[in-house]
Amino acid sequence: MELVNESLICLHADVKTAEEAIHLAADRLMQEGFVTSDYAQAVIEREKTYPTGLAGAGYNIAIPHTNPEFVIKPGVAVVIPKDPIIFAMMGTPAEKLACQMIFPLAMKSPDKQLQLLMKLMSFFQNSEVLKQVYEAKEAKTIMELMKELEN
Amino acid sequence: MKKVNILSVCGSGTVSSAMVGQKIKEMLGEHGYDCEIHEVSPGMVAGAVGSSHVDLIAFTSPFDPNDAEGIPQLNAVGVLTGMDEETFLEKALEVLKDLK
Repeated sequence: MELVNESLICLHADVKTAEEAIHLAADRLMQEGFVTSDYAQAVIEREKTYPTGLAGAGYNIAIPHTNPEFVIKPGVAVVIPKDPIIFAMMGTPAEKLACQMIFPLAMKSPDKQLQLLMKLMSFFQNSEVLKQVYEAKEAKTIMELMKELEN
Repeated sequence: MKKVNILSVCGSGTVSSAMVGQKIKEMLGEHGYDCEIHEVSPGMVAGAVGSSHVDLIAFTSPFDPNDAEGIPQLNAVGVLTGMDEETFLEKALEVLKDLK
């Protein structure tokens, strides 16, 4: 199962808001056949009620996602914005986090999603790996780093 | 082991809550608690509280606190990310030790 491909990785993304970042990732995910055309709107709506900003190791990240009905096959996109983007914090929407990395998720079966979520969370706890993702000069580097999520 | 009933709340009531529930079960298990975890979405909290006994609510998505008046409600995002399991554990142990 190929969760990440180079087209899903957006480095130095010129996006200013959470919505723009989600749209950017959603377009890529849609072009690559991971999600349906209404994925972006569904993610944006969900984010308003159940935000996904998280304080990771040394960096803030966000994992916008939505229900399986908008997903064709599982995948993870990566958006590294030029400047950090504000997301509300998961569990505490009143708190805002300036997120350096955004990982929009396209998830299908709850079982698979649980496994992937656990892998992602340990990925986000590794400040060294996050640093390498954040400072990556090309998509290939991030692909390599994220390979472990696929096993 | 002391039996406790915990409600794990996340946006969809499936994925994050399952992960959080599993970790809480392990963490509290080490402290002598046998946890029964129910995974729910925020909209299901009121129903779950009304239909069965709940000792503690762990949430990664916000819900209306009035839906579970009088039941301790702890933010479990630190458990989900693994970045701060200690804070949750301390608070949970504090809450559970007062149980009859």
